Amino acid sequence: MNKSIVLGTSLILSSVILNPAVMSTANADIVATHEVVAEQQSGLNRAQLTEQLQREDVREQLVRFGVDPEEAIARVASMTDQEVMELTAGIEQMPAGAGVSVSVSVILIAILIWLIFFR
Amino acid sequence: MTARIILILVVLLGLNHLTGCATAPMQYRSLNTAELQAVELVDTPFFPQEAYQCGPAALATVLVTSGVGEATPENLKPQVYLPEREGSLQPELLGAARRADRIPYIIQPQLSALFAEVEAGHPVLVLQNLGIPRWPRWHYAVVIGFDPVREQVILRSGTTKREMMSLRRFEQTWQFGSYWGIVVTEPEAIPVTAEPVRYLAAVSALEQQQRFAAAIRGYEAAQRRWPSEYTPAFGLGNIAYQQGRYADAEMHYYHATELASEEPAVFFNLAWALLRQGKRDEAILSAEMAQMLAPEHSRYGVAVALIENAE
Repeated sequence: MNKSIVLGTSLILSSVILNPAVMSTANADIVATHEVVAEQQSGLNRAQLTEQLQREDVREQLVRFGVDPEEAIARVASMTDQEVMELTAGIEQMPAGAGVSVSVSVILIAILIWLIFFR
Repeated sequence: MTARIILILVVLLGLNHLTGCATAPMQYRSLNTAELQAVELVDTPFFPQEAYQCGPAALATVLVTSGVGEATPENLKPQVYLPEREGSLQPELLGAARRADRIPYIIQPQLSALFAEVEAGHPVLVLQNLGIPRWPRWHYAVVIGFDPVREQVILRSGTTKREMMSLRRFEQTWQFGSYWGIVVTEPEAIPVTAEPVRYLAAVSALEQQQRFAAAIRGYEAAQRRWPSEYTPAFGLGNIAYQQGRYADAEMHYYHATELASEEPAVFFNLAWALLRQGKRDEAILSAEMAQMLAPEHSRYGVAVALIENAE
């Protein structure tokens, strides 16, 4: 019980320390450039900025999808708030560019040919 | 026999239905290919890729072109490859480019923007869907040229060093990939099709991640390209502030106020840069400006109190 609390706390702490996006909030006095740019982009809408919890959620998802835990921290830190939001919406549904394999249409055409000529 | 005919009909109908999904108008029909130059960026490196590895390979291709000599698919794989999906996601490619101190920029979803970048010497990393919308087969490739006579697009793709694809077929695969493409340039060479606000957002992402050296190069290049934009000076001021160079920050913020005299954010940050240098009265004046420009805002609206109460 105690052990898991210690482990959980140290995990959160390490991600906070290692996450550059969090380090910059040390300068909470000035307004950050990305906030102003986000306001310019979204017009009158208030800039939508991610919470640390969302970054933590994406980090966990990446680990679940097979990424090394240390590497997952660095990956999440290299993303913008908007990109983190996109991943929060679902890693499962996003396009994952991969190599060349046999396409579905090729399979369908093969079935057709088989049906016509070989049955 | 009847069963076989019915089966064939069903399969045919299925094919027809699946390919009939894309109803959006194609751009290539209205593209004046005669006005396009024949171009092929023959010096673009080529990393033949194993199965599922087109993300790291395509990224390495554009990173090396942008001067990141040490980029290879092998050392990018841990940064972008997602084992359980057997591929790479778009945000991770963008993130990995930032980790190499480059400013990735998503181009306009248009063939004209794509070819303008290639003509300017910037290969474009594109997301293609080589399957069909319902059963996608996602693939990353790098567009390196265009042949206007044959109307063919030239790509570094998969294990093919010089893939020629008809413009129509290319656009179809790119359209299925939502016309997503990125250019990765040296920070001094802003993409020719870049729009100021979106490009500055791309630079500010590096600033947010404390990659200050690359962000400074990006903002300085943006100042030269768009001298009337205030955001580059604002960003340079914010970097100087975060590095504790308050006098430099003040100078950049003053420059920004000359370009945008009605932006409360600039006066707000200027107030902090002045305060950090002990110029308390000037700081309060600047805070009053911010407050006057945005009295309802949650931070600017209380700027004077924030500055007065800061130690």
